Amino acid sequence: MRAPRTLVLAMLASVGIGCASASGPAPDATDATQATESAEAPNPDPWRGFNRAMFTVNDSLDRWLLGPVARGWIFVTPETVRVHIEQFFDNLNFPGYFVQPLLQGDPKQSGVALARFGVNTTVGLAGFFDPANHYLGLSRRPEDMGQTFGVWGSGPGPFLVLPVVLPASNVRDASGFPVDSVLNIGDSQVISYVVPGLWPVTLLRTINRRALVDRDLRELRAGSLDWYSAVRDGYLQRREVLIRNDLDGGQETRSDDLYDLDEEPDPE
Amino acid sequence: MTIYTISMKSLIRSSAFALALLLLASAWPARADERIASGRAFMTTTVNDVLAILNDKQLKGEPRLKKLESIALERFDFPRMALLVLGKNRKELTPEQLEQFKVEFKQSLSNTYGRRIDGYTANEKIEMGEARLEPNKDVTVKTRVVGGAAGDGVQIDYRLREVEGGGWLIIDVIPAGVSLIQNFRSQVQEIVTQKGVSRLIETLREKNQQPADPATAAK
Repeated sequence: MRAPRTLVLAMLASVGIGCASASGPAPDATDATQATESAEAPNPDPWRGFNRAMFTVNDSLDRWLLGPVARGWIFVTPETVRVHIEQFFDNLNFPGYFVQPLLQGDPKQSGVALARFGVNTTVGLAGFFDPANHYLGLSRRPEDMGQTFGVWGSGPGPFLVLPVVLPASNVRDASGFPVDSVLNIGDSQVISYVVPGLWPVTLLRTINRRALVDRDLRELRAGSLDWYSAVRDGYLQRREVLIRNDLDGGQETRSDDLYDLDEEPDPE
Repeated sequence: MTIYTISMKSLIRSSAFALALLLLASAWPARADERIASGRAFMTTTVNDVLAILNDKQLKGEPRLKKLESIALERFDFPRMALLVLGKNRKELTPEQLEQFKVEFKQSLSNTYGRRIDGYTANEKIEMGEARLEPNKDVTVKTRVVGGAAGDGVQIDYRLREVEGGGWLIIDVIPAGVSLIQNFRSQVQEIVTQKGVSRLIETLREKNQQPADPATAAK
């Protein structure tokens, strides 16, 4: 089977446009893929150049600094200890986990968050243990301002990466960052600026959390073809699931043709 | 009189039609249930095969990894997954490039999957969940990996497509609601628009030739 001439032409054209589009969107209609994509949905990453640069900074920091430190931490602690430390910090996110569902019109979930906090802070020894989940079946559900904006109908907006503070985000979720910094205390870095004595604690949390995902992170990185866009898409998909609070919800945002190839005949 | 006969005829006809509809309606859910059950059975077998390997204490290192990879090779529809991942971009590839892409993609994914499963520890269990019928007649089966670091475990959905002549093959893996096909499609789109088709195949080839990260490789 030989390639039809139009196909070869389209291919050559797209290679040229591929280079051109690094500096700006290609208005040329010969690049069918790009044309249809922009017609279907707005470009999720209009600030690609900036984001990629920031992503490289963060990724290098992770590879050469945070990752090795986290593996040192893994070497000196058993996994259960790391899990309990993470649970302690997660328990401190209670204000956010309580307030956001209220804003989302889901007071029942606020009740769950309240019960979890009450039980885990007392019986769970300051949150290091999670009896609320183990014995009462009240499972953890992280909430933040960006999710509430999503529930209110906000789309994700452009993808956004900032050094250190936002390894992967978008305009919607970044807008919630100031509120999250106050409410989701366990996740907050900002609190250390207010109370500098907390920096060692913040650092410990960062290292501990990175240690918990070390294996997954490196496997995903090794299995990816383009790490940046893998993270960008993974973030978008994951946030959609969190906003809908439904693991099946993500599929509604996937393009219709994801599982079905339009078997149109060759133009020959 | 004639009017009566006609209406009688049409009455019989319409009631026959209604009866046919009724039969269809009652037959449909049964067939849907059957389909769901058959997809779920396929996934149960696959999970059991994987667990048998993981629980075999004698099997270690490279042979264990190879066995897990071979399960992936049997149960995944790699050529279709490659096409789904390319999406509209597949028209940018020459037939030769398409074949190269399929070969490299298959190797890359079976390696990744094998390593991934190989990383499971003995106290991690795979639970079978519900299954549902998709609008295009695919079946999605839910599974959950429990006993790991994450308290509630991780939900992993498998989307299955019926093979011509019966049977099923996996066409997507969806851990925690993130579709692998969707994720790879974004990456392919990025590489193709930024660097071109030839770079896409080179990237895959380089990935496949790289030795596994010693820290994540089989112990």
